[in-house]
Amino acid sequence: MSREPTKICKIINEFLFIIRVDSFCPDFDEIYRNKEFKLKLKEAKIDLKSLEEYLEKIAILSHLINKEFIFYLAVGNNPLKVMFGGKFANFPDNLVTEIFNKINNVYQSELEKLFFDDLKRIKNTVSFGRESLRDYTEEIQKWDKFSPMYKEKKFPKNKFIVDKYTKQEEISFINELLIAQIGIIIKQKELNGKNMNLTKLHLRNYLSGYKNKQNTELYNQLMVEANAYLGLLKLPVSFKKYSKHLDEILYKRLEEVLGEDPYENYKSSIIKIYNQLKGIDPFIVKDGSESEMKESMLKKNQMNLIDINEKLIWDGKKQAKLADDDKIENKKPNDNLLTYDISQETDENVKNKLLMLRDIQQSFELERKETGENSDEDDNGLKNLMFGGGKTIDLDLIKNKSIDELKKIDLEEIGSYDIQMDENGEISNSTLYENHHEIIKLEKELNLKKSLKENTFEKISEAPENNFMVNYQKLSTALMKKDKERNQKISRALETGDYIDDPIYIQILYEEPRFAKIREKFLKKYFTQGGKQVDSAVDKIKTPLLDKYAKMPGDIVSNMMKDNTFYEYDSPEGKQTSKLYERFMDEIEEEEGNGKYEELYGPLGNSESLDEEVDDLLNIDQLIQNNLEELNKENSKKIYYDPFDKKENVNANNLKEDKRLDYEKGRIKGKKQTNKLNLL
Amino acid sequence: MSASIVKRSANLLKNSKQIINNANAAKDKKLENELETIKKMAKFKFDIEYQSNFRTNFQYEEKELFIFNHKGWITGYFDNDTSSSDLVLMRCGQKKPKGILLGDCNMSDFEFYEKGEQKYRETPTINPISGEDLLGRQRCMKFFRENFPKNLKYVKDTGDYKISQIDTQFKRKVFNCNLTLSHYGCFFDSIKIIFASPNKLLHFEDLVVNFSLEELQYMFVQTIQEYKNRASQHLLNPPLIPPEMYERIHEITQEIHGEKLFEKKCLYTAAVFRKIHKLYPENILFMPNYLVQRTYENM
Repeated sequence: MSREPTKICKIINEFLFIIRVDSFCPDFDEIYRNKEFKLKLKEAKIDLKSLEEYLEKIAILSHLINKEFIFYLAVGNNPLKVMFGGKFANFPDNLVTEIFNKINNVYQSELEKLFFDDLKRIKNTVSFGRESLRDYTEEIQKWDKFSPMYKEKKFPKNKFIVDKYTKQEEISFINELLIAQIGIIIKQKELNGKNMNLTKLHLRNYLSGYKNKQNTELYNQLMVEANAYLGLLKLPVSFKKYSKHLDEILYKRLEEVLGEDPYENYKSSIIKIYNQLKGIDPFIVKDGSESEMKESMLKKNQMNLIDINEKLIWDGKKQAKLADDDKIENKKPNDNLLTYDISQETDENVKNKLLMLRDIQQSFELERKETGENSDEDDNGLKNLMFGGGKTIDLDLIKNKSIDELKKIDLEEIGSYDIQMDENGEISNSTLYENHHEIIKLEKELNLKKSLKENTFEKISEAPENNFMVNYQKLSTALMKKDKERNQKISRALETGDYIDDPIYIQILYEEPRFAKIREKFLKKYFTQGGKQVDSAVDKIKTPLLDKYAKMPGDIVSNMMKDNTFYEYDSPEGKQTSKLYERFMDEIEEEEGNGKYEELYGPLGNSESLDEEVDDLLNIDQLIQNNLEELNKENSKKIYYDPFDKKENVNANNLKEDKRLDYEKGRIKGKKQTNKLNLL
Repeated sequence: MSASIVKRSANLLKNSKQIINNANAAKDKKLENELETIKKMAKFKFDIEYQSNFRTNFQYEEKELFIFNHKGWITGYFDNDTSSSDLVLMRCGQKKPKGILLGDCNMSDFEFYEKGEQKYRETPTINPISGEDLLGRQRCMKFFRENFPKNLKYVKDTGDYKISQIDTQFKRKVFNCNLTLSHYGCFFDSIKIIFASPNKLLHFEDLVVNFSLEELQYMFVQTIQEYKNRASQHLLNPPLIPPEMYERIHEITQEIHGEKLFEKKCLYTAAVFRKIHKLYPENILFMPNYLVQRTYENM
């Protein structure tokens, strides 16, 4: 009997449900965005006030229910474009985020207070079964044990590494990104018509845990490709075998950053900045007077500081544009920019502004010291970009600070400035000044490449038309290598005094004024009419030569300097002149040892002439290059030697037979030319 | 050309050169170590022993229905609670339902499991609702087949359907109800998986238009006062991180302001339940615990 009322209740309930379902209860399509909702939306105005109201309501609701709206805004994706039927879609995104952050800070600050007040209860709670919080010192000792990587870099002690947890998240994020990129690559290959079913199967096995040699090699190969697209990780040399076909991808990635000719644009940008720094150099000229500093500044007529709070930048292009604009607008003052002509101002003003610059840069340096930034940025390189590794912060900075202030410390890129200063005011640690030798090399390469018009990143394909270009490129690079080796040999020989069988080396020596003077003395000593009579053998040579050159107009010595025929070693005249010359050189060496340098080579020059000599010595490489180019041109003519061409036949017939054969081969043998040098 | 761009481009060039050309052998050992750490991180989640959170001395709300001459059930659960995970899977085993309705999951919520934080970079979709948006079986199958083995956030217990999120920071598991139930449903061909909650932004729209600002401010103050009261009586554990505090605030709002803020959401889920119960009988609906009574009244 007791079950009957329950049965009756069930039946009644059922009956009631059916009535509700059929009559009152709405369908799920009709609940949101009703007619009532649309009517209320129409009543609201599209103003800033109404937008602020709506955003304040959303801020409260996002703390109470969900944070989804905030997640969209934090990325920069404005969901108001979709919400409310697109009513507030026309407001710009920056304005929406600014208003929302202003309103949200009021509510968020209260929640933060609540959080920190509630944290204090941890003391009172029972610690059974829970990890209690340790002291700072214990915590730091744990870190040092956990991370031997940081030990090797020799961080100073008692420092807290901030990015440990973020690193783990980032690594997992990188792995996800790489796998996603691999999927894209496989899709692209499928669209091109390849069958990728096997690779998919291998990958699926690899990711689920069944690993083989095939799997791992395939995964590494795809990972390197994906990394080339994304540019996330540095890879060791052992991965080099997977990166054979990746030049095109890298080239495209560099194009996005640097323009159409990335390899050249990068170099030119560095050279430009380096030259600007070199031209101005107010910090390097320590001992110089103010006028020298002013002159060095006048090379660049203007100096421009952009955004002192961020960085010190010296830009050539921007200066010119800004200067022209200021002249047109009668020099309107800009708040962010400091521009002035140095030529108009007095010396004191220049001095004061330079001092101001130093103060600014020293302030940057102090910040670096406080934060304890590592100076070895280049070793880390891309690691710092990716992992944020090496950021360290003093414990004194962390103490007694709110979460907002701590977050700001995280978000700043500490020590991203290029320039570092000493206490004396010298630039010490900027990478540009350290590597100025490399920049000079880059300049030379640029000049060479502009002459040859070649890119290292040229595309290589299997088409026969491009095969010719490839071969040509290989040839040209091989020739360039040979030329470089020759350059280095000759320049080394000129410094040390060693001898090389090279015609250019001989030409340079022959045309140098020091050796020309010695030759003059040699000729004056023996081949003038009132000269010495050493042996009878000398007179045998002397008389025919004197007869020969006396007939010509002008002095005998000047005529002999022009002609070089009697130096040749094969002739009987040349053998004896060379003996004479050796004897002469022995005498000179003795006199050099006695310190009669000025009598031999003339008086030593002034400081100006010495500077010129130094400049000449620095320009030896260019001189060698010019000679090489001329020589290559001559050789290239003689490779295509036509026997039917009369003009060249005449020149060729004048030469001896041995030499002509050598020219036909496109060479000049060194041995023939060396005979001259023995006479020198 | 600013100095920062030059520096970045220099890094790019260095990177490209070092891949193509030589690199020092001493540096490579460090890099190889880093690569090994990446590979280890994949195993990292299995190596550490995790803690898990139990809720004690608590009553879960459960209801039975009888609509259209067939039975139906509603059960309550909490996220971040392993005892509720046992309950949820136990009910599925006992009742053997034809369909599982996820009361707190949506089409756009499931995108977060698939894409992660990249979901928020795409434009949100608040399309007019259709019947196809409710059905989620194919999508769940695709997720567990393709995305789940690569994923590092979520972990599966061995010999069980339970799936939970990982906090590497505090070494603990957070039970995720939506993924466990969809994981359970994928093993049986007869079971249908259905997303029964409305879109979150759509839910916000309706609340913003219908409520005044003063009402919402009053609710905000009231919840904080309630939180302080409970904390002073030590009914809540102190939170170690802010998101842990947010969970408790969300629960309090569901408890106190459920009539106002969650009425339409419960009405929507009830409507979906009826719609599906008409076609395919014998279903279970899983709701957050404080909203079970409200959905039962709206049926």
